Amino acid sequence: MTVNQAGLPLTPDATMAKHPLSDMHADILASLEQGIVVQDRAGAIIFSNPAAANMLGLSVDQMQGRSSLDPRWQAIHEDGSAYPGDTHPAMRTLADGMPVRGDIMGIHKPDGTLTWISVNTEPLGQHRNTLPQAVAAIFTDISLQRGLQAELETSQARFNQLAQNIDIVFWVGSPDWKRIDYVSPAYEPLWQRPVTNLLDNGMDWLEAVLDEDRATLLDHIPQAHDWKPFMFPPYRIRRGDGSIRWIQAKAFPIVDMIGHITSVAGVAQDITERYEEQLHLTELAHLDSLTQLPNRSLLSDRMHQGMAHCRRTGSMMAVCLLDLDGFKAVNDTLGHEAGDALLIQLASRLTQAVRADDTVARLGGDEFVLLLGHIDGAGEAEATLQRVLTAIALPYSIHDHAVSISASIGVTFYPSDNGDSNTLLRHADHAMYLAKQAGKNRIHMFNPVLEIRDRENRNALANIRRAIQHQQFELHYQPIIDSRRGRVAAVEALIRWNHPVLGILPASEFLPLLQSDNALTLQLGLWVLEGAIHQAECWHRQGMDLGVHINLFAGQVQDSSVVDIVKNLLGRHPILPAERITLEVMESCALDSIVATRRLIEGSQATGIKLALDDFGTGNTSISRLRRFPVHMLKIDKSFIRNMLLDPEDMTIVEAIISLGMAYGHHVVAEGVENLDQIWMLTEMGCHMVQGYALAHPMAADAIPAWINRFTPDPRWRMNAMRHLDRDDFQLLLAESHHQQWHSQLISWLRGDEGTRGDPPCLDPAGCNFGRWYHGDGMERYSHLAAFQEAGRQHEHLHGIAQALVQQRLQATSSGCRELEARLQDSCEVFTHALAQLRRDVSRPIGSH
Amino acid sequence: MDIEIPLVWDDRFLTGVDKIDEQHRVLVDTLNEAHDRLGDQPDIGLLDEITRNLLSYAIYHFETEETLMAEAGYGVQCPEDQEKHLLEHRNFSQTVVNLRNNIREGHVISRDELITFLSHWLVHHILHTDMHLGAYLSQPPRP
Repeated sequence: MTVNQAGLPLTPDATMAKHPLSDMHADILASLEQGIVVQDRAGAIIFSNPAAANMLGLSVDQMQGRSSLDPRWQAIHEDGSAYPGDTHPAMRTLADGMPVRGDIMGIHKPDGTLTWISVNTEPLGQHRNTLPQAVAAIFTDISLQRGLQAELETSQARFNQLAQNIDIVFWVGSPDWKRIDYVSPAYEPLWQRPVTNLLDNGMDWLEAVLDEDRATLLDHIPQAHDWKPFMFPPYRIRRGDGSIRWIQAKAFPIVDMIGHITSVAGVAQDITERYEEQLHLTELAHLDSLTQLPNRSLLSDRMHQGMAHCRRTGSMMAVCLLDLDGFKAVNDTLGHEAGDALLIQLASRLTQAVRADDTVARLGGDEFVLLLGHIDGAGEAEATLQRVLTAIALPYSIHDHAVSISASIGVTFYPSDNGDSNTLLRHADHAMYLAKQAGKNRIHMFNPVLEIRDRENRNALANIRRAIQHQQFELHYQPIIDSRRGRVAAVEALIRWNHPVLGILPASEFLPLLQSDNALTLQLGLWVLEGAIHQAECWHRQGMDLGVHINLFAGQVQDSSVVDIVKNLLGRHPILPAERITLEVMESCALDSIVATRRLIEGSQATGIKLALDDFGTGNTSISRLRRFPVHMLKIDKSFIRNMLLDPEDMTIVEAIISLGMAYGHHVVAEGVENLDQIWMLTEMGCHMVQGYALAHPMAADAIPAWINRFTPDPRWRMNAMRHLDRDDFQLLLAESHHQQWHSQLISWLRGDEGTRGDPPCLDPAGCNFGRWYHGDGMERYSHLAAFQEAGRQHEHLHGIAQALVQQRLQATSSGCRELEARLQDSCEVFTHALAQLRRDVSRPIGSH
Repeated sequence: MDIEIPLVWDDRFLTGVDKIDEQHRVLVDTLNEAHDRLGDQPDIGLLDEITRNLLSYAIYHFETEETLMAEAGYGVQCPEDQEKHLLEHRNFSQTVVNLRNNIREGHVISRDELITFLSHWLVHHILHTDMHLGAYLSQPPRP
């Protein structure tokens, strides 16, 4: 007997002996997981490997020689019935020579446990027409598989029972929603759609979802590339029988071991009863108890929904705030109950005047909000709101009283007004306020650009505030000349802004902005006062007798503390005499705040500082009022000075102000003097204080001393000042001014276009303004003077040239034109000289009366 | 180009620089405001308000543009364009100051004159001068 490596004795057998197992074969057989048994012709085991013995619960030795017919085998069929030894697969193969495949048998092992094996057999040593000499049986242990199978079947049965009996739908499908692999039986009765449709098309369930909910679902459901557990917003389905059910659903991805989403699953259930109950409760909490309209909190939800819808579809929504006009009067006269009754009726009219899917909400009191969605433009909303106004205006019957009421509506549009819901309401409220202001019972549209404008205007003011901190403001000083004394009497402090980007800005470009910010006005005004008073003291220290004029802003004039502020500043500069300081107040501003101006006058008189009325002549101060304003000085507005030589009316005003000043003891300053002729004329008229570009531009403080040193007065001023122009002689000045006006009209006619120039000035030497004076008053007063006769001749000569020029121009002949114009110019100068001579001849030195 | 008033803001006004465009909307709106609110009779209070808003505009808007010009080296790359641009800005401010002086002196600008001034500014400055600047500022940064 040979023993192989596995230690298995091999029984010598006639057949087997011919085929001894090599060591290698024996090793292979011993290492197999499958059991291998060889039985001889009689069915007795002549070989078994350890796996076979193991499966059968015996040792290899115990196996040896045991026949299939041995009664100790306790084998059963799959169905549990006894499996007799003579029908075992090996025996069948020995009996008929046919192999057996996959026969299942259970073997009760000696330890009482049951092993299930699958058996194949192979006949051995079989020749043609003979039965096999032996048989090999190959066992596979299928106990585990059978156990799993049984468990699976149990589980499947349990699952089926569960699925059949619960009304929650659950399903498994592909991540791209194209395929549904399984859906539980609850689907068909809930959806009332054939499950086969769903298995064919993974999105078939969506067909039942209501249109208004479908878009939201499609927006939210996860896409194949981005799957996360997902809770659907509650949605409604319409079923085959027409009923509508609320569904709550969630879905989640199923991830394999390497993290791939292989499929997705979800559940869906009918929550109709619970949800409707909840909706009802929410609705109750969100309805205004008086009108049953949505209240503020529901309105807020609706606004968010509406805004989301606009963003999704690119449509517009109008947010309208409606406030009743005169509702308080209804409450006051008819009582609160009547007021409430009116609000209830109003609520139903509002609801009827808008579309069903628009929102009408009550904010409280007599304030309502209308949300008009899906509109194409402002026109559409306006048409709707006009209908609303008409509906509101119909009379109400309240407790047998006929009551009429109107409303004001403010509107803003989302998304052109792109704010959050609170901002939109605020804007609509602002527009409503403007509708009230414009006279009530109307609609006012909010303009979002106004927001931008307000913001930018505030920014500009903030920049001014910053500019004070960053010392971007500068004071420049413009000399005021006393022409009679030939000296600089004072300087006026003028503020300008050295803007870091825009360069030097004159006060006229930024001061008007301050009108809307009183605190900033006072702050900048204080800065000016401090700077100018400090500078005045510096000049005083340098031994200069120089007054400083400081402009007060309107806000400062009205500020009751301004006198104290100036007093305080003077207290900090004790060596500066108070009378060096003159505060300038615009005439118009003084008239706007008479009480404040009186207070300012009294305060300044007590302190010793002086006051001047600036821009005088524009504000139409009456003479009686001027008596109540005992100011030191009047400053004639520069607009009159600019035109006084050309416009006799302005000349008359200038003369009147000078006379007024003389009569009431005010000093008079002419501002905006641009040429020496004006100074000449002003000194003749008795105004000796002049200021303007003709003399000096404003300059930096440290340039002032040098300028004063260089300043040389025109000696003729003094001469003029020594003369006193008679009241009647003013007429002569006026006549001269009339001539200047005639001359400039003629020049502009000659240069004008044929089509637009109109008529030339009067060409008749006796018919023009000067001519009428000459032949009237002038002739009466001055005909005895040679200079008067000479002036008359020159005037006629001048008109002769003018007539020729006009003639040529009308005939459109250009020849000789240039020469005539030169002659006109010469003639004009000769005439002006003649008039100046006449003026000298008629005026008398002061004191010659 | 023709200006139809009231003027509806649209893409042809866009320079491509958001801040500039937003501020231009204010000017277009002011033009419409003058058209809508001014009547045949002079309204000094409203004119004062409108011209004050224009002065404010001249400060914040020109600062915006001129700051952007400086940052982008406009004066170095296109000195003539910048010079012309700044001159137009100064003239605008001066014109508004003159308007206010005239109003104060009793020469009240009519509604049509104000609208003509603003439309002229819109066509010649915003649709022309500012478009040059907008195109320059929208270029990719220079190395």
